[in-house]
Amino acid sequence: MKARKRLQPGRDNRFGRLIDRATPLHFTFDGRTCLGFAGDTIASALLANGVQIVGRGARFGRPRGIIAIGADEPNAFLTVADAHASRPNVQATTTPLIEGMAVTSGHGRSRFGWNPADILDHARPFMPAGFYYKAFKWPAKASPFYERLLRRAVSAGRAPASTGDAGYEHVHLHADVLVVGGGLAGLAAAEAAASRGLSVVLAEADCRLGGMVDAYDGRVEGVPLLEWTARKAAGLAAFGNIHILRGTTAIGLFEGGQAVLVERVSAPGTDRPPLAERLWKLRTKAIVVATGATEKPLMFPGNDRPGVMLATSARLFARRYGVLPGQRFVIATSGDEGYRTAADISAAGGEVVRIADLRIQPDGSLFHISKAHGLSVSPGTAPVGTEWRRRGGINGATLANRLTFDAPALEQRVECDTVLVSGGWSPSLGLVGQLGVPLDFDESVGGFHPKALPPGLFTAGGANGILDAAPVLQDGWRAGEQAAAYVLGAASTGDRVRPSDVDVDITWDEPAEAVGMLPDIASPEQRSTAFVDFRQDVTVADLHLAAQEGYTSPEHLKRYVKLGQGLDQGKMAASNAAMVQTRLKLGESVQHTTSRPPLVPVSLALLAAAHHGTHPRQARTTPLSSRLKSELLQETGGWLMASAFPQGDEDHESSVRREVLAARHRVGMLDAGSSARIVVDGPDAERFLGLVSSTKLDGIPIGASRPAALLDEDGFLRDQIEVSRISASRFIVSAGIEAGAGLCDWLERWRSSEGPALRVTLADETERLGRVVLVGPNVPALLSNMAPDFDVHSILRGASFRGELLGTEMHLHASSHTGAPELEIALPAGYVADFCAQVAALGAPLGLTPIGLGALRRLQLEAGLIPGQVLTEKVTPFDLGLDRLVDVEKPEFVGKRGLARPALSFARHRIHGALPVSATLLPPVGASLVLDPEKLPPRTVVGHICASGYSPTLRRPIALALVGTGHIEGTKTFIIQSGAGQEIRFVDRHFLAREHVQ
Amino acid sequence: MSPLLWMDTLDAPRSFAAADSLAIVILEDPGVVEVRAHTSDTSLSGLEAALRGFPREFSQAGQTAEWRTIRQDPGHWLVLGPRESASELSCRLREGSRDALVTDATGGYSLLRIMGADTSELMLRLCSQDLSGVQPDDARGTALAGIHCLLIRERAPLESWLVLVPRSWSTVLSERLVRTAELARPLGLFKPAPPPPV
Repeated sequence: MKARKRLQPGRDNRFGRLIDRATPLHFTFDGRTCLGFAGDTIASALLANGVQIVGRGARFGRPRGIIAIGADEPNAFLTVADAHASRPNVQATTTPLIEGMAVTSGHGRSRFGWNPADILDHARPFMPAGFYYKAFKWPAKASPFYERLLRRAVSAGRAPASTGDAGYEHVHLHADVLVVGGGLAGLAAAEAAASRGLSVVLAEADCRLGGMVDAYDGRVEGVPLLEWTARKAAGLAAFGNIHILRGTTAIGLFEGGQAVLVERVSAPGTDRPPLAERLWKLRTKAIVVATGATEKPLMFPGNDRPGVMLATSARLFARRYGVLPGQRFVIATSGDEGYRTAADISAAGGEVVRIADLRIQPDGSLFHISKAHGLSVSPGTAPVGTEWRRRGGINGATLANRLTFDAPALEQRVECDTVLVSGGWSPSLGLVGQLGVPLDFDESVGGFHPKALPPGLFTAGGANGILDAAPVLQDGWRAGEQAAAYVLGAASTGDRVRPSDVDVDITWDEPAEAVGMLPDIASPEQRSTAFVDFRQDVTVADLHLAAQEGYTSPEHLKRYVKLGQGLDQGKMAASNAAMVQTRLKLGESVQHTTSRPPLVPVSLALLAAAHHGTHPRQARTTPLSSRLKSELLQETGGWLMASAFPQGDEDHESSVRREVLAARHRVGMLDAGSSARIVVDGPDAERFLGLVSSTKLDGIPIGASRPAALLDEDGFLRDQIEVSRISASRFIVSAGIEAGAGLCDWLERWRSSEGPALRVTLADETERLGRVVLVGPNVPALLSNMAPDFDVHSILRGASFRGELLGTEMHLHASSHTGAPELEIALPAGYVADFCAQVAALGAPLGLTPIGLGALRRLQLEAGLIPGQVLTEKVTPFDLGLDRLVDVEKPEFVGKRGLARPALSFARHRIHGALPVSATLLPPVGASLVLDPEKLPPRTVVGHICASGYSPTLRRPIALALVGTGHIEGTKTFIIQSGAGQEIRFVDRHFLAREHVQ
Repeated sequence: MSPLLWMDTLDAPRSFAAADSLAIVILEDPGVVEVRAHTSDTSLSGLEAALRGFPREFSQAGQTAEWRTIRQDPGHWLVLGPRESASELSCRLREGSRDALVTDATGGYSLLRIMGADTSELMLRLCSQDLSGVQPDDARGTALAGIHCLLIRERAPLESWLVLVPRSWSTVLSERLVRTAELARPLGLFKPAPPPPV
């Protein structure tokens, strides 16, 4: 396909300097094959291929084209797929084109030639500002539908199903100074700071340095500006203490010199595995923000139509990529930028039909030069309308004189296919605003400026509202010097060569006039099509309406009309909106609304980086995790444990059932390495344990154990533990296999905060020990084989062994994880693997079977033991019938005040066994227990199922239910399953001990 | 049953990633003795002197014979050395400091070594702390890939770090190290670079 709007080579060597015409790149846009060149951005390639519509407004669905060339572009957020990944919300103006890219807007026309969103524009009168809040309230049931509708309308892209094979990484870096922005001011600032010997990171969002220098002609020190900048950049790169990050956008500045930057690493696919993006987390001592300024569009009826573009952006598209977005141009400008652009367009072969200068009496050199070159210039003239057709784009613009007070303006229609606008410049201060710096609006220049910068933060160049090259260089140097002085704690010295000393020969611009809505006296109809925020479809009329309704504060107004809440964060809209508000004279000084990171859309994959996959959260492993080789892993309590050990083609459930039966009838081996074990040592250990536990722990005999409860500050149960006394001053605290996460940290917190005077020391032994639990009737036989001299039965009756066995320290004692005969063996972690291997060999004739978490839970359920997950439900010991673990006579323990609250000082719930009357029904965990299943919601809920599963031993589904104490015993209770009530019968939760299940 | 054999707690290949300028190696499980004493303990200074052999600055690792003593925080030391002699050392320390809690934590930690010219760049990807000022034989308690561990800079011709990580986190950390090393491209930080495009 031929690139229709690409300038032909050889016409003028100023145009297309960044593209390599010898390297064509093929890509698709909304399924259509297009052609670009190496060096193109997606936006430049789209313009070259004559693409006019790249997006739609969020509210009215009006078609939108590319309006700017940089990060302030509000419309061109596209979905981009390459060989490695698909990413939504990619800004076309800042993303390099690569071969084979598939670019989609999601707003293509249907096969009938129109888009359903077109209808919305006709409904504009019925959708005033804030209509979301007024219209989408009724009926409440329709909220999910409205939400889907609005999500689609705001064009927020669609998250890809996977990140593909593209990689992402985070890098931490410490440096003295960060300079954000690689334009003239940034280069000068970096040089000033680096020449003091400081480490400087210079971050530039574009893949080139120099900012917008290529938009201007002139000479510095006798050489062309672009060449001078290239020399300067090369000189900086040769410094050993400057690191230049190109293609890197600062997305957030934070207190203490922290900054977060996103770097596009390279074209993915150059090597394996490909790295797509890198997140830099910088910690610096000083930051210089040299992010330049944003050219403002003009606010006039129809200013949002595809074909309306910023004048400087159009000039840069031509100079950088050899793209001329049209043939017949009308240029409306409030400053001199329009004249510069007009000169370029004429040189590139475009026709400048008219230059409408908004100023009444322009008198700058560029004005006179343009007149001398025969360009048609109309001073004191403003655009007041555009003519746009769905097929063909803009075919005319209406201009009107501004010198009217009490008579209609004289209007004139001008034929054209492109309208270029320039409303002056506004400092880009989004990053500064993130630090909470108040940004005041200055009506005279039509831009914001920071009120007071925090220590260590400096602004330079365009971000300070300085626009001409010589003062920009000077200001950049000043900011770099001040940053260096801040870091070094010294005053800046004046004996070095400054940029102000160099000879700068670039035509100065006359100041641009800050203008508001055009025409100056506009009708409500005109205001309703003059757009301020192109992304969110906010018009001048919306701002007027918001003011009428009392939204005078910029923060309130922003939320009411959704100003700046789109993907572009309203970078281009803020100044124009502030100008409208100022002209409305609402009585309040206008400030920029709070800026929040990220400054540009960031992919979630980048934020997650290495934390993705099957187990995105990092989890701990036991000494046996890798040796037992289970395919089915499950995260519990911060540990990654084997859920089951399937054999052959077994599924999870079959495996669990087989393991349960093995534990009930033969012998099972369970990895218990996740259960916490903490040594509490010191003369005050007993007192400390009494403080943290609600249970009476005085006088535990040496060698004996006692179950205990730990409560949180609110009085709810945190953990059930076992406290064993080893000696007069030493105790061991143990928790269950799935409990005890963070137990040592919790105890340490109480030790250091509540008992610093207590002579207590804590040591976490969880790491150094491996633990194995042998379960089942064949345990005595197995232990007899292991150690023939052992008195197995005394240990199973409650005694314990602590000493050397098989050449190492070992601790054996009866445990109660499953309700079956059990032996827990603890030994140093490095010996566990060999121990298990030997036990497996010995136990094979006895039917030894490894069992996982799934079987453990099922065994606990059969035995009526309270499952660990119940502890996450905010229950008290009274709720679970654990009254014996609360010693109310103790003067103080953690959680006592919470537990003493009237609402908690009695049992609110009871835990019951629950049997579905239908023996084929498995009640799902979390299912509500209701009394009136026939009624429509809300029904009377008396409790819920907290654990359930099929019992292989009892051959039927069983469950545990947490039921409110107000529930009257004998009342028929149901769960809702597939829309119908299924009756549940409450029984004693110790299923194996009761006849009712037989 | 026969006497048990010690198997290293991190069950993975010995050498994870080897390139021209980076190697990640799993070392044998070290012997680790942890000593904890209450900060109000009057014998604390004596204990510290006994552990170190001589008083040293806070957070520095002093090397005495084949054992390496690291003060983690006030009243908490780690003594690293050969696994075989950890038991004997813990007995000796218990005898010398009856008020302190001395535990043989062997098996509670895994030990890795990261070495090579690209080590510092790998560390930048995993650690938020500035490690550039850490001298050989010094140690830093920090988080690597979000996992709390102890880094000890070794005295070696090439940049080399020992990573002492709690045993239960060692598998995750080693996987993260490998994944990060595989993905990493040279950062070339603060070095003269070719002229950037403008």
